Amino acid sequence: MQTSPSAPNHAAPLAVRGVAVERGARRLVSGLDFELQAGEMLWVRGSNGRGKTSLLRLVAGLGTPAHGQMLYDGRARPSQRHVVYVGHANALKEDLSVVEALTFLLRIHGGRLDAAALTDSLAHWGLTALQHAPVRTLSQGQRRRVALARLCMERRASLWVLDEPFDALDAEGAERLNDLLAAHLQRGGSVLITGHQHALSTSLTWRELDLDDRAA
Amino acid sequence: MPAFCRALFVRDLRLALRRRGEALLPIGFFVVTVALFPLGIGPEPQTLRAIAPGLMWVCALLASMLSVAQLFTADHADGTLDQLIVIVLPLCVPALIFGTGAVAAVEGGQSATAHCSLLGALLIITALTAPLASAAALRLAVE
Repeated sequence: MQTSPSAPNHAAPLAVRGVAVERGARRLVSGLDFELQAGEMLWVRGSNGRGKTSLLRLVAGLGTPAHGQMLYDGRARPSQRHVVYVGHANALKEDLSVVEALTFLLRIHGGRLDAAALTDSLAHWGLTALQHAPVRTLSQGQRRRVALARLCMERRASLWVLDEPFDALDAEGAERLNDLLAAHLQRGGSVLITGHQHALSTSLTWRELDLDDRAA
Repeated sequence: MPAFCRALFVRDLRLALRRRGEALLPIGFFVVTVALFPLGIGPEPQTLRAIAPGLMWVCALLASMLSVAQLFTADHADGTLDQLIVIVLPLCVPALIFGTGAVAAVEGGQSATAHCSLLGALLIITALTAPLASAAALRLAVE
């Protein structure tokens, strides 16, 4: 594990230049500068309300920074396929089954539906027996697993933006997520993540960005 | 139809079938509201014939308002809106004008072809531009 942002690279999957993070009219962080290289994970830390989620939403393209700019492979806008965002909310419909909910998430993001990969993904998260169960009958941890099952289908070296992904997961679920993160980083993907540090596997390496040090 | 739109359409259809009460509520509202007018203003055919075109379209518009709120609220609450950021923005005022005209034309024994053509053109324009307008509006809303 290292600390502090890395040396610049113009073709970085993500380059954040002088970005200010605001919530409403309140500026939380200013002058944020960092890059995320291929195969790297950046863990964003900070006390409650410091702007971790707001920063991740900006990176995911769900907002425009009040100041500064973000570049994705040198471009101003992220492509739909370049960034995979899993937020606090699981984006699952109560009345859909596990397979239907997962299929919908994959299809709206333009992913090709590979039945074998879907089966493997459900098996990876221990959801095979629940695949036809309505989402409303699942526990919070199981719902989180369904939302994260989408990551299993990702084969691209994309940028994963994960907001508290370990929330509600048990030890086994956390281990499975760590396996996915390791495989993604190995194939040259990048990860921007928040959450509890102790949930990340010690076999992974990551850099830290502490928003408490950069409060506006 | 693009894969994105097809996925959204199939999902919404599936959800409507599983929550039939919610899906049928606007239709029920429309029928009940229209049926109340003869009770309220009297069963005089001439009067009813005169107000029917506007009445039906206004009731249809009000009924559609019931489902507009559901369109975004649930998706926003469960995080789906973040994953979408593109849906439909109804451009209902011109539809109301031409729709009323079509009903009035039929009522007067004339052809409604011209009005229906304009409504068709409106549908095409809306289908092309509404996703972009809605995406911009929703992006502002979630920021």
